[in-house]
Amino acid sequence: MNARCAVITGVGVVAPNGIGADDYWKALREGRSALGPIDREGCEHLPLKVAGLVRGFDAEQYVEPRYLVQTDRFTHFAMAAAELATADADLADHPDDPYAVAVVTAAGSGGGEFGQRELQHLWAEGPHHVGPYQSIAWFYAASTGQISIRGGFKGPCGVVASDEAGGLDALAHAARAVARGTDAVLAGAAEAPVAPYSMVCQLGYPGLSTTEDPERAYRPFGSDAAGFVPAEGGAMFVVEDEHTARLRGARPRARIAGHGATFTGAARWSESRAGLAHAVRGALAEARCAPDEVDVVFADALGVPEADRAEALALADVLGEHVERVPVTAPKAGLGRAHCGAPALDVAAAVLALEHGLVPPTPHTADCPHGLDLVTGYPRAAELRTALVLSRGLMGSNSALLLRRP
Amino acid sequence: MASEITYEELAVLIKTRAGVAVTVDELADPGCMFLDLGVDSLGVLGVLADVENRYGVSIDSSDLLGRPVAEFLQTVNSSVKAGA
Repeated sequence: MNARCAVITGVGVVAPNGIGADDYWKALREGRSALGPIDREGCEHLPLKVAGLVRGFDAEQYVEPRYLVQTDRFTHFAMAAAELATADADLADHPDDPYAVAVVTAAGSGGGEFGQRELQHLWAEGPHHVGPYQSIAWFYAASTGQISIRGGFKGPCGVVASDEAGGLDALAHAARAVARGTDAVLAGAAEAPVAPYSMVCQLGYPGLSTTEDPERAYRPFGSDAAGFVPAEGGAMFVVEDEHTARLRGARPRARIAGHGATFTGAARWSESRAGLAHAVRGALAEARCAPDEVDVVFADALGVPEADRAEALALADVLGEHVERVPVTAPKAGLGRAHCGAPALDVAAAVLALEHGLVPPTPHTADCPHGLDLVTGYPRAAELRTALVLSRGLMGSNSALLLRRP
Repeated sequence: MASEITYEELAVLIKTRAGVAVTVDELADPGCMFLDLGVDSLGVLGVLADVENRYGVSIDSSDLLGRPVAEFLQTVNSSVKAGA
């Protein structure tokens, strides 16, 4: 029997710079920044001033109102992205065999906006005024549950709670489910952490950039890097067994070839060097990929100088001399970091880059003193067969995912 | 305050609390069940809590979940009347 191979057949994106893969790619290619002032009610007085906000998002365009009433904005994003991904893959809801399709999402922030509203009802009016859907809407598992219920997907569903890098781990989890026999998995992550309560939760992060100028707030790898800014949004994918996908006429867009994950502790950035390097080695080994076969790197790019240095060193540790030749990019510099949604958005960018033979640039950053060939200013045309996507969490998780053109 | 909840009012409550648009005719059908309308048990609890808060009454939900809409409304209205 041939080994089952996980491929991405559908891409769904809800991002600050575009909704849908086409708009997203157009903005990435142009290096357009979506960072701007946080103008949401109740957020104006907070020291965090800049973020990547999803604007013009009409959830009802993608999801029935009964699911919207029950869920937070982060689940609205995930459900919309899932809807876009299944449309892209032409994967039907309520499949003949419901156990053949699963859902795996990652989340770190949960339903902060919904939770805050209900807790305000609690202390203003009393427990009887808290809506019953509070019991499910705030929860990290809400997106997996609602996508599964809505689509009738009863395969081995899961939720990955492994920090920001969980966005990559969810795809690895999906690939393993496919290897074990599930035909298709809806996998990815989306977050909505830009609401008063969720923002206050983030204010303690030492790496958070409180710069007020959207042009200067997040410049990863730059000599003037001053931390990162948050974002909302994310991406969902249809991950399928390649053979099954081809049989039903679906188009494999990228192979999930390898994955590795490690943990090195919260904010210990210099130690993340070894952890990230080990994760990359694991991904390369699983994919049977030599270091010099990596054609492009989508970096974690935290924007904290010590973390940026550790990431550059990790790449040099694993890739050797090849690190001087391989283009590295961080499109999220123009989006902000949507926590678990950030690496999912990077995977979408990597799939599109492989397809177009084009490395999108890193917005805002002008120079890179870390010895990397950082793509800035304009997109770069290149023959791309293999893309490496990296992610680190603020709490210490490191993950690497290797994608190949099918 | 009106001491009886009409099907029209119930339709509005279902739309607000459970996000499901229903017609009065659907609700008034004697066999109509909440689940058939796409309203799950948490949605019914939300509707019930709204009624309780509005009329200051307490309604035992344990017997109500899984009942047809017409019976639900009858029971709710008798509680509202008794409490008013």
